Amino acid sequence: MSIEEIYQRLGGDYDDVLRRMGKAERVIRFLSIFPNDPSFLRLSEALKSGDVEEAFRSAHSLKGICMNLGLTRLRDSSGALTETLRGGQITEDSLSLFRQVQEDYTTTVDYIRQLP
Amino acid sequence: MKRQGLILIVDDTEMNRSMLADMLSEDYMIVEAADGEEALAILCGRHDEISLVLLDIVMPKMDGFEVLAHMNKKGWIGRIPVITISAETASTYIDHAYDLGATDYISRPFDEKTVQRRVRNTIMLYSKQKALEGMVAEQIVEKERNNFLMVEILSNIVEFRNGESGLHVLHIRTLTEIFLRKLQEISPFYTLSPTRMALIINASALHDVGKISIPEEILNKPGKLTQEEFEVMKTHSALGAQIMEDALQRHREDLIQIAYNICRWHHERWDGRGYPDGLKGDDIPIEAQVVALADVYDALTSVRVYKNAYSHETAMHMILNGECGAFNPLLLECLRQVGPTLAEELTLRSLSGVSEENIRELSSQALAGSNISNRTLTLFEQERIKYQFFASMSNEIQFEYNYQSDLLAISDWGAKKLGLNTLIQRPQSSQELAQVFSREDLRDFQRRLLAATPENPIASNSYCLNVMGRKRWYKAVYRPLWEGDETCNIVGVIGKFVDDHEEQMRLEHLKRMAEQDSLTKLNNHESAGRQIRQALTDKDKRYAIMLFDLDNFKEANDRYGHMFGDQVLKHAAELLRKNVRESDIAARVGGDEFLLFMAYTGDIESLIRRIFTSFHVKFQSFFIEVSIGIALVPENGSDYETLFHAADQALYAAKKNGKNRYCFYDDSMRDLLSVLSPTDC
Repeated sequence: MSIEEIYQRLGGDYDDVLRRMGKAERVIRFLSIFPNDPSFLRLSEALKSGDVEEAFRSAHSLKGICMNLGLTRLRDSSGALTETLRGGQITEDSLSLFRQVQEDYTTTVDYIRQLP
Repeated sequence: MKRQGLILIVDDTEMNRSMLADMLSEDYMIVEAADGEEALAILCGRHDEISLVLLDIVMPKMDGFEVLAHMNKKGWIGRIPVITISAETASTYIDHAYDLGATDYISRPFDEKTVQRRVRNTIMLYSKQKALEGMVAEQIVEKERNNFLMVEILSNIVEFRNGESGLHVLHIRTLTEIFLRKLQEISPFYTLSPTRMALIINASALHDVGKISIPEEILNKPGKLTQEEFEVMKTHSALGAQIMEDALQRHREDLIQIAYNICRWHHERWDGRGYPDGLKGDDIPIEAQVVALADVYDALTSVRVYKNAYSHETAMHMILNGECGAFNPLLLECLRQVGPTLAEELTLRSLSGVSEENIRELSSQALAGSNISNRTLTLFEQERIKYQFFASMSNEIQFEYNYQSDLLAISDWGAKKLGLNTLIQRPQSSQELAQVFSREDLRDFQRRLLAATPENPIASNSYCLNVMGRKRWYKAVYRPLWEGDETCNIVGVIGKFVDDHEEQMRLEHLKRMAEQDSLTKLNNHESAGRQIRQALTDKDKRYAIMLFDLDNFKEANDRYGHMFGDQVLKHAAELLRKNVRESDIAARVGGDEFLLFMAYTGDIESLIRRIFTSFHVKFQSFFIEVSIGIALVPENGSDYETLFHAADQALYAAKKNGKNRYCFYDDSMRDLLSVLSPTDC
């Protein structure tokens, strides 16, 4: 699957990402290491253990990376989750939003793994 | 492309760090930190190298705001620009970062061009600022230097008018510095920054500037001042303060403010009985207190129109006994503590140029926090130490003269050797110096100095010095110091005197040898001629020039051999020498011919007869017989050639008339042949 197709499926704007990152090679390189980033793992563990600060930071990091990589769908869901955690409490909203983040993350990683 | 500048990237997300690093690593070197604590650890060690920090705000352990706060506390924030990066766009976040000193803000998502441009612009801006700071620092140094010069000029004017020694200002500066340092050491009550201390020392020279307005008759009156005169004299402190106050209207400078305090209040007393304001205790600014003490000590130990110099011990006693005013007990304690070394330190420091030290101190103050020029200053300092070290190690008479201060400084060892002081004021008119180095030699010394050029700067000549009552030859090697490239403006002289007495004695001996006849040790013909010509320049005297010929010398040679002949000649020389006074000139002018030149008064004939008779002696078994030809000055001529020729002809006449006689020249002999100059015939 080509990089353009992947962005299309994930609801991202490849042209915009390419403009910001400067070169296609860099986009592909960073996109391909995205699955190695520990932010999502930390987020799920922090929520499980009830560590709201760590959960906030991880969600925040995940959102930041997605912004940089133009992973729009995951950015939106993780951004929304970040806001629910900013208040210092894990709410019902947080948990349902996390399920959305989890789904988007899995989809994103699946597509990225199909990079040539 | 050359990578210039080191960038610290602080972000807890590795991907963000590597993305930024990837965008910047082509132009910059990168160091990364995963949280605030790591960032601070790196900053601690490398804050001198880091040219920019890219800082994430939301991080575990220590967030970006805390990093900024620490950078403020350490004073790094003024020098290292920080660009914060965050997905947070809330204005409170951004404002808080700016408040803490962040320079710029980049929001996510990163844009390669934006990141690169912001980083480049920020670094450029800061390095420009750094260079500017450096320039400002240099200007401060320059300004202080100018201040210093102004102070020096002003205080010199006052001194000339006061008829005080050129040393007074130097002494006041040095004493002020010594007292201030001691005060810092023994008391916590008067803490002064090094800059302020340097300013006080500088301003101390201006304490008497108000004396410019005091009438000459009062200022230099040799005796005690009348009450009215003293009242006029007392106005100098307020007048000096007025001068400073006027200056303050135009330039608000610390130096002038401090000078104001010193001028106005350096005659106040700790007990409140001083003038002009009767301030008491610590109402008197500490700078004025210190200068007051320095002024009193120097006035006591120096010669003034109205008094002789007291010894250091007497001065200490008088001050500590309260005979010369009332001082802060802490300052008296300072004086007591520095007392034992004060006199020595004063001479030493006055010599080595307090000014230089002062400028250096001000400079390093001005440059603190900026590395610019520190290296230059260090090198300069090293040169100075090196020079002083070698000067103290060598047993040489080294000297240095400064035209502006008209002071001659001689190295410790040299001064001791010559029995002079290490410091001589106005050397051209110094009696002390003239006793060692004659005025005539000094003039020769100056002539050679003026002939020196940048291509050929070294002057040198040997002079006979009078060292502790003994004549001794020294070779002077010295050079002028010009101001910049202007050879017409000599500002100083440096050089040394090297003992070359032995060498000179050897030369003298050789010269004497060359002028002597080796057998008889009398003058040879040439040297006698030179000396006679010199003597004849004195036209007022009567002289006789006599030529002797041993009549039977050939016989002595033939009969007894050359060895005996030589002994006869030696004996004849001995006889001649017996007839000679200090001022007479005796010489061997040919094989068996001698010459005697003498000034005479009275009857010449009896003098000649006596000499003639003294030659008629028996040497071993040999009777010496002699003929003498005589010419007189002024009767027979006035120049050596004419006289010698006349005497020669008289000698010929004596020989012709039967030998063993003397004969005066007269004009009838004009056509006779000569004995010694057969070519004449």
